Amino acid sequence: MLPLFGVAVVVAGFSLRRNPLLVVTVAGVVSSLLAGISPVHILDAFASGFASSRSVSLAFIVLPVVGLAERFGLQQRAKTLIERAAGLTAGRLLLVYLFVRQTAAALGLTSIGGVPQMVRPVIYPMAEGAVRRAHGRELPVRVTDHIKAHAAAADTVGAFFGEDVFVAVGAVLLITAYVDATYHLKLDAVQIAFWAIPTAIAAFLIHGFRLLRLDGTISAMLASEPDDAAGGA
Amino acid sequence: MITAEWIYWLAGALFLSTGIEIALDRSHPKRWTNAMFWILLGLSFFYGSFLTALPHWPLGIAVIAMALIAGCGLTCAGTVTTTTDPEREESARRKGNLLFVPALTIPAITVAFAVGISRINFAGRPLLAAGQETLVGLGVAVIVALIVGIVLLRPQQPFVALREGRRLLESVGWAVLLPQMLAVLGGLFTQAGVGTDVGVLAAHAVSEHSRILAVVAYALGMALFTIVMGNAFAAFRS
Repeated sequence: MLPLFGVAVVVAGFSLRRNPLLVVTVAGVVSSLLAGISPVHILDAFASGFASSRSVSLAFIVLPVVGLAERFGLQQRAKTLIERAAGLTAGRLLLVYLFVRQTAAALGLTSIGGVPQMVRPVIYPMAEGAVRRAHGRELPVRVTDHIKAHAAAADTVGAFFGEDVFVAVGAVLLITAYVDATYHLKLDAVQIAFWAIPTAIAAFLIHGFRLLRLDGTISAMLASEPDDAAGGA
Repeated sequence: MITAEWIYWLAGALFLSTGIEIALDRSHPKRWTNAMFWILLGLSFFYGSFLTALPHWPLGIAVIAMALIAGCGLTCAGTVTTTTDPEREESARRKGNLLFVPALTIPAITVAFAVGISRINFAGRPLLAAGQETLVGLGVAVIVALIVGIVLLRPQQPFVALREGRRLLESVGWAVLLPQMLAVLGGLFTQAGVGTDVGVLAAHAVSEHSRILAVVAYALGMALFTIVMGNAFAAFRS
């Protein structure tokens, strides 16, 4: 039971708002020491964990491309485009993006979209442009942060709840392999993927509802802040 | 057969060049610790490819060192000269929708690799290593998109893309390491038996006769752990 203390370290560290990297490192070391793992083996585990998870950091290699296009006005162009499309509010735009992202992921096309390559350069500026057009004023940081968070969340929810519907995705294969090995069963990956569909639909409906309410939330946020408070931030 | 190792080296090279640029930037407020963070990250990406032949512990020390540098507040973003907002407005008017082409090249080529090129066999073996089609596609896509971007947008120096990459990487900052650290934590917890302990506790708390209660406890527990520490716990990574 002693290694569970590591979970307590994570909870305490995150609630005291310590740097997450520090919290995670300390929690890992504490748990391992309490489980009686030698320091050299802990270092080895840090190394093999880092090496085998390098693929999650690969999305960052798109940044030079995105940065180059930003240098020439990519975000500004995205805003201009959306300002012309009447009727497309931030909430509706993100709803469309959620749908596209989730459907593509369900078909195995998880590489369409992503926060660094799609949300930051294109989707977020469009959503912000839509809000700006609807309200015709500068936006306070609180509101732009809210739009950023929702743009990123639409991407994450879409990818997360979409990809499990596709059979050949890592998560489905992991579930199948893990359960088969632990409980000596013979699961069918197609069945796992099939039963991810109700969850996917529920996720779309719940998050879609939140997105439809987004425009109202933003209006309320803007109404509570006088216009002259904006821009200075 | 083409594997994904070289894409890790491509990412490593990007982090290394960011570190070297910061080391050369006299105006950077936390020049040396920042340079150290990015250079260590870059080197670790290369080192990770040779773990079967090399000792593990130096990489372990490097990973902990990066976490400590960032965790003690020794990193921050420097100022990278880029275009101003009015310049961008003006350039956006001139370039128009061409601006989207480099960014959209990336998913287009990645998908082509994942669904098309992955089926090609060469000398009786698949051309792309199994399970790595998307990663190989991403690597090729980034290189092609970079060339497309330089040709279409014609920056005065091609290397400006690397500096823009540094600008964005620095704005993400130490958080670039967080997803991997959560995966590492997942592995450490599995090794330490945290998951087994949680399972034992849960078995005490929930009667085995009621399946619906067990499922509810599992779902709530998973949601709780995911809120606390991201996807790492749920993924059972090792």
